[in-house]
Amino acid sequence: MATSTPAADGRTGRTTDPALRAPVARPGSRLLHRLVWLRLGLLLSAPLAWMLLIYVVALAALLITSLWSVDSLSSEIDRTWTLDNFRTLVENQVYRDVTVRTIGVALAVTVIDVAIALPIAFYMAKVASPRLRRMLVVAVLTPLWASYLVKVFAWRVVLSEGGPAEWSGLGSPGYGLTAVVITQAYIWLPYVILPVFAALERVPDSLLEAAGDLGANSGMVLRSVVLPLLVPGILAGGIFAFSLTMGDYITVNIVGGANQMLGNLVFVNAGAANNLPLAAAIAMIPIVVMVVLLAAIRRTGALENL
Amino acid sequence: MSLPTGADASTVATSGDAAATAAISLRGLRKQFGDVAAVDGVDLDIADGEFFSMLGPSGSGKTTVLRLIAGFETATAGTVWLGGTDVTRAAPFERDVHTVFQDYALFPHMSVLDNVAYGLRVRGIGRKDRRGRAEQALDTVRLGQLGGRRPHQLSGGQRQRVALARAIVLEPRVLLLDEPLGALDLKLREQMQVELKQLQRDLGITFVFVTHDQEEALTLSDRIAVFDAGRIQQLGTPREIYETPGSAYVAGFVGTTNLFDAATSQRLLGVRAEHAVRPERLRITPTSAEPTTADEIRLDAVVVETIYLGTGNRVHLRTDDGLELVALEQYTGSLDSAAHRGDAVTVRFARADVVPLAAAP
Amino acid sequence: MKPTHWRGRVTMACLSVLAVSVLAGCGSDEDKETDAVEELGEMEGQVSILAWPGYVEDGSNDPKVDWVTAFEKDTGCEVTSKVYGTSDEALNLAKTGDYDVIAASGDLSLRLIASDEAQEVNTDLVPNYENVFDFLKDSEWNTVDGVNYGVPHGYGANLLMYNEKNFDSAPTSWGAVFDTEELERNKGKVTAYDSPIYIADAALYLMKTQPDLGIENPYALDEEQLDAAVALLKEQRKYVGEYWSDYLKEIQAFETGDSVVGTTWQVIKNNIKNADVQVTLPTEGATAWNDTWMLSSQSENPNCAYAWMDYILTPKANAQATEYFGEAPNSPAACEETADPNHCETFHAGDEEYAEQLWFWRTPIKECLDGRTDVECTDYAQWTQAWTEIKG
Repeated sequence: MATSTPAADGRTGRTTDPALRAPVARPGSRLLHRLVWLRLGLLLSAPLAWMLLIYVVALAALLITSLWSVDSLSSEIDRTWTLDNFRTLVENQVYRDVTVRTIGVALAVTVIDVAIALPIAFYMAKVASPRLRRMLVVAVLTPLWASYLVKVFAWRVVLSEGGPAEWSGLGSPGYGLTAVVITQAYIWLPYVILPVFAALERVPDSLLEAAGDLGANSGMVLRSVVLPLLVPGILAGGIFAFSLTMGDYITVNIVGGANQMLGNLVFVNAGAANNLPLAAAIAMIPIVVMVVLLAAIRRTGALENL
Repeated sequence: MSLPTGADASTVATSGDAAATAAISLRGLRKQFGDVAAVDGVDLDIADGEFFSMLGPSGSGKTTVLRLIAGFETATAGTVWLGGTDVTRAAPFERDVHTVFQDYALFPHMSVLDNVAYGLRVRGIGRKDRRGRAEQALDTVRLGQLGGRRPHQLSGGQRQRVALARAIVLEPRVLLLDEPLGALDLKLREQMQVELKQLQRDLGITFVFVTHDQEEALTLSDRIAVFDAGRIQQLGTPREIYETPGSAYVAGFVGTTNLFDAATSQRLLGVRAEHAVRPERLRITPTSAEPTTADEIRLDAVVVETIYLGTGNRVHLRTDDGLELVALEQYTGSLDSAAHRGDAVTVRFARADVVPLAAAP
Repeated sequence: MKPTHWRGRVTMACLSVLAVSVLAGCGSDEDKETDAVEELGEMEGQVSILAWPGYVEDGSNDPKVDWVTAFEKDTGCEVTSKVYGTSDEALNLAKTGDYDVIAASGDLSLRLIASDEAQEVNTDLVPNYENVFDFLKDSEWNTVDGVNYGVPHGYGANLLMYNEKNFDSAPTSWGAVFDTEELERNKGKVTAYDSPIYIADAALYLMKTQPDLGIENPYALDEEQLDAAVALLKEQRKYVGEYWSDYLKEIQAFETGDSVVGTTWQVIKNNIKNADVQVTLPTEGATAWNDTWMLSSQSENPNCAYAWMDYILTPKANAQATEYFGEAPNSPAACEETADPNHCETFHAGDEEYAEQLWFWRTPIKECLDGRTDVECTDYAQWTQAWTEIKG
């Protein structure tokens, strides 16, 4: 340390405060710096615990609960293992019907949303001026601020007898599955537009120009360049629309007429019937459907581009 | 089909019937973005088989001219002729020109081979035929083995070549290259320059090359148009551009130069007009070492800084009357630079090496 | 299973029920008293109440709606209250032991008693009990084996509502929603209450129209009887436009004409601004509800709890609470106290003839409620399963 005293530092003529040269005494930081795993552990422990609690434990709890049964009078849960709930699901036609109906509605919503989202997102990302684009993004996002219930009740009014749908001359399909598809398609549309829009924004304009330059007309550019590059965005949006519709039980209650979907069965069994184990078993159906769907998509290799 | 007439003689360096045979003719081309004129009246003829460079800093309008030729932008005024056909309003896919993009614009979801075959595919050419032609194009750019890869698995230079192959497989009359080497490192860039030049010569097609690198433009081009503020400032061969810059702007942009304003010129040369002299024309000698001759100019100066370049030294000087000069000393044999910081020296250059500049427009 | 202004909040249900049932599983089952208190002691200074929304109002929802503050002033018992949305949610909350008093409908009260969550109530310690209509006292949903487990609150019936434009003459029978010929003319515009308990409405109709089935009590159905009710409801399903569980939803549907006939509550009819919509109590009678103020077996504040039960039975407080909620008060004296002088007339309070036609909600259990012992009845879980199948 003697060489760094001001006197010995005469060569540059500058003096240096020894405190600036001394190492900072923070043993904790030094320990953290050295032990990479400790640093990572501290950093990740909170989110990991959260993940574990929210996802793994909740799913496991669901699975375990579905293997229990309920005493009907006292509503006490009987914690002996039984497959009765799943037997009920398999043996009763009604659960198959409701599952098929729910998947059908979810598919219809997904297809409609993707079909509407593609041109809108394309216009937003590639045609509109930056100013208009910002306004459109806001316009797409704004409905997300409104209460879900308010939106569904609004559709109930729109589709009611003598309601706006009839004034407009388009006519109303009345309350039923069609109304559910329309309402759900409206509610989840922003969740489809945004990922498609984000995917489109990531496609450089030069790719579109290059395709045109190489002789492709607009249709061919869309088909051979834009659409394949949008697959991740479309998948993300489609999975949103599909899974959110699969789980919904409010819209069908409000505009679905006399129809019920899987969510209603879960709700009725968890709430009114107080049969949590059966509700858990029914809740496994959309989970299984989603897992199968994702596995199928994965097999096509489409997820690799995500 | 009418031919373009009224070519401005001052910007057309080739013979009078250039428009008839030119691969590309631009007449009074303007492009306005809002209030800004990105291209402000460009007239230009590019001959068949020419390696033509458009040189200028970013924002000078050179890329916009290229995009107007390709059809990605629509001209505000003026016309674009390709091989004697007016294509001003034609869509990109209707023009017999192809572009190599600065970011290469390779399709990330296709293999290299599919990228190259894309133009053939959209033209409805059969799978087998297009595969053969694409492979041949890949061979031309020496990437024959990499057809199965995805673009993201390639290096920058390889991607560059795929972009080239994708364009040349369509055998265009004109290839437009938008700063194609800008993203490559120096060594690769020099190698690609040579390959580009060879390719152009072998294929015999017209290259229109946009760059902001003056050295690249000088080494590759048959002719160069120097752009500034949406206009062509000078049009000529690399030698003309370098040796006899038409303006202070061109002299300053292309290479390093010593500029003499009108007053200085009056004092040194007895002519009241702007002049320039290239640094490599300046010689540095010890003070008053040699007698002066009539066609030589001698100035006493002090060395401000000497910068080692490897191939020589760049010496910054200040004359006794405050003129700042730059000289380039080449190593010849045992030369050990006479110029050290603070030395008093004499700067000499031939009167003939001083070039008069046209008044800036 | 009742009309409340908050029924629209279906959203909260699933997760809260899930969370609550997990908590309930942790509750201790020890030391539950069942013997009635002999005499009251000192007020504990606090009481915790679990009730339907609108039953325990302290002015925080609407400054003009407040009958809790007066109670607190009189007794020094500070009230904390919790509202619930379904009887099943209430069952789970009650099991936590955090509540001294519980307002329970007939489909909940027996379950609370069966699971030892309710204790005997000594009605001698509730002076205002004597005001209560006799037909509400010692009923099957508040009394087991002669032991009182609570004091009655208000009551209301599930009525038949119809749009008179769609009928040549006013319907007088539930056949309007169960008879195929009647249903045909209103196809797609029929509505029904969306709950397994609605099976009792069908059973009531069968009880009157198909005596061969031998239904004595619409809440005591053996397998065969349940099957008959389910078959009837499946036939009705073809004509149903929508089921309702949300009271705002039914109001809107009748106002627009999306629904023209179906089951309803008086309070819903009162809110419909369409002069063509009428209600009637059909000749077959109707299902109904009557709530009971019950005392938790785990109560730590029994004295304040008794004080509350007595207070809410005072004519003034009972009139305020039942009128705000939209049901009949529990005593003639309360009818004198209603803000709307016609309230009791509108809700047929004290009309015993009317009340005799009502089958108050009860929880169907395996042990037949009508006293049959030769056969096992269907329980609520089976009803729930059946309801799912009816809706399809």
